[in-house]
Amino acid sequence: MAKKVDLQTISIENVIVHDLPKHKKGELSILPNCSEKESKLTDGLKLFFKDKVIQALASDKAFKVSFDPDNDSPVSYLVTDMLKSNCADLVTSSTAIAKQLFEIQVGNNASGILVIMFGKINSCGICIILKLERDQGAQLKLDPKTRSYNIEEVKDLMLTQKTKIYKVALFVLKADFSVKFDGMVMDYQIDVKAKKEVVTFFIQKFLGCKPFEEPKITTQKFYNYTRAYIFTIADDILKAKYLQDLNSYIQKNTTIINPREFADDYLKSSHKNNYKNFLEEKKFRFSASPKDIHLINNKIKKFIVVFENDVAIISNKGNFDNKVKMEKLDNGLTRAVVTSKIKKLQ
Amino acid sequence: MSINIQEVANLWKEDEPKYTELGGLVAAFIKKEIAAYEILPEVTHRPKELLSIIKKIKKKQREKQYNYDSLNDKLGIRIVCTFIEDLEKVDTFLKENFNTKNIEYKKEALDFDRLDYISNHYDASIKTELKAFKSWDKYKDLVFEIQVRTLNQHAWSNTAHSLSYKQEAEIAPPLKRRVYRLLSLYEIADDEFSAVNKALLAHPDNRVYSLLRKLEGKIHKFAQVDFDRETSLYTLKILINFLSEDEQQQLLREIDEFIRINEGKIQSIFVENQIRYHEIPFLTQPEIFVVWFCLEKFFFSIDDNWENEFDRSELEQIQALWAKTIE
Repeated sequence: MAKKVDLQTISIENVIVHDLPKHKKGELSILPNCSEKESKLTDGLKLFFKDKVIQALASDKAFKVSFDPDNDSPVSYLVTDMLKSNCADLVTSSTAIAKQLFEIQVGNNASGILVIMFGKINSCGICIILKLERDQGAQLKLDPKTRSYNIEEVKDLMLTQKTKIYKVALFVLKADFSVKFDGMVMDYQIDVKAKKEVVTFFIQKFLGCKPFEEPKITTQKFYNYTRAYIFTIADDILKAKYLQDLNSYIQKNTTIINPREFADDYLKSSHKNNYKNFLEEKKFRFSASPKDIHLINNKIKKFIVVFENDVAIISNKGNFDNKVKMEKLDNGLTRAVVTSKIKKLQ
Repeated sequence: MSINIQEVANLWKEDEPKYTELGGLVAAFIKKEIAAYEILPEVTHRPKELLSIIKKIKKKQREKQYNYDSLNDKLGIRIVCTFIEDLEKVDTFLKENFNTKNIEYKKEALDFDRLDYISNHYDASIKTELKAFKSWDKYKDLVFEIQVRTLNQHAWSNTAHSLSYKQEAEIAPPLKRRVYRLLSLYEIADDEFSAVNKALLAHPDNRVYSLLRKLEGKIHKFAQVDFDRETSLYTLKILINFLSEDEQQQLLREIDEFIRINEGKIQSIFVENQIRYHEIPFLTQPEIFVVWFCLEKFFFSIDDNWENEFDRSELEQIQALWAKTIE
């Protein structure tokens, strides 16, 4: 039986920390401060970082990724080598990863701390890359004796909020788990409400990743599964409203789709739980994904209600709710009232 | 037959450290493993004092052939349970995990019209084939006594002891009658506590209480620590109010099965996080199972309401413990 990428079984075994100062492009006098040895981990620290990784990957800003073969970033092969060698040389591979980040960063990137961890899920190797952006005052001190950073200091910085916005990536070897994706990433810079891009500098330029599933496929699945859920609701008028809401949501001027956001903005409390459970049964993640309406474009333009007496109402643009008042009558029938001028008869 | 006191003293000087070590080992084993039966009894151990050993040998020698080696209670393990029905669970546990003989169920030995001290006594030795005792082969022949009683039986036994009840001959009949009347109350109390416990478990009207009674054994089993009842009642009351009527019913109906299905996962969460119970006190409270259940089944009922009553970071922590699989 194939092993599962069960986050609950994460165990962190090795960790190394590199410090990346802020610098301008081409500024050769500033170099990354890389550890020459792994940091020491206590059981408490292992659990602390495990929690942080899981919390990040459980957020609605996390999604599955694949390494993009057309991307120049060396991170894919550095990570793959690390996993295949069972972390034979964390210092060398992590330093190369840190240098990659340092080189592609330009002045507008905040100074950062790169924490690279090797561990196991269900006895198979995993690589975790954690990027923290730190305040100016939050300086790490390289221990001159061990030539490594104290990971306890990183924890303290995280707890005292002296580090901002962190980004997390977890990579696995596909063959170990019989999966088709390479990992999962979360970037707190993805602002779901501000409708920013899901694929960020961290994910694309640094890690060399792309969303695991093509956005047009994810969007189509989201649309189809959400419609399927709406059709499980008995109340026809509510069903019509939700379908129209779905069309409106999909057509919003944003670059993402997010079922969590759809549920929060449109569904009644009593339907939210069922909707989430429905999508999870379909193995569709309840989190943000890049949007591409290419495959469903024709379906979302029109909203049609067909009555049993063969009368149909077709609405071409959104806000069906405002244009047609539908009401459930005591005898079980539905009354629809359209108040407008007749534009065309055919 | 006479007793060579010096010889017994010398023997006990040599044996006492062994029995003391064995006592610690056995008590720790029982405390840890019995939690699987969803009870958290008080377990204590004590090697016999030299004086008691000598007195007992002398007393027994009046009745039969008896010497130092005949003594099977040089080490006493005492297990004190809350409810009388727990005694049955302990009985099963002891028979499974120890070599037991000379088992005395004192209650069974009493005629219906007799009242007396009742508890279960076992002469036992360790099973070296068990993982926990594998490296303790040197103690495999040491016999010790395990006494199992309820809190009421324990209270009675202690009080009666201080009233010198055992020396019946010295008590005047009217006083003796008063002692026996008291003893009957302890026995009735045990039965009543047990009956009330069962009734509360099945009580359909008080959901918070029903839920707590369903879950307290589970927290004993997994966390192996006791919990704060007041906190549980307060928290469960709030959590229940987050849920709709249908959701509340589903919770009560399915929580046992949810825990059973996820037993392995729950076990590993508790084992892994035992070192930081102090950082996550919620983990040692029975309501943790309710939150996990709701996160799986009624996510929004919990998530949308949590911040009205609790700290958001606490929910994030609980969610992190209940991590999911990437599919």
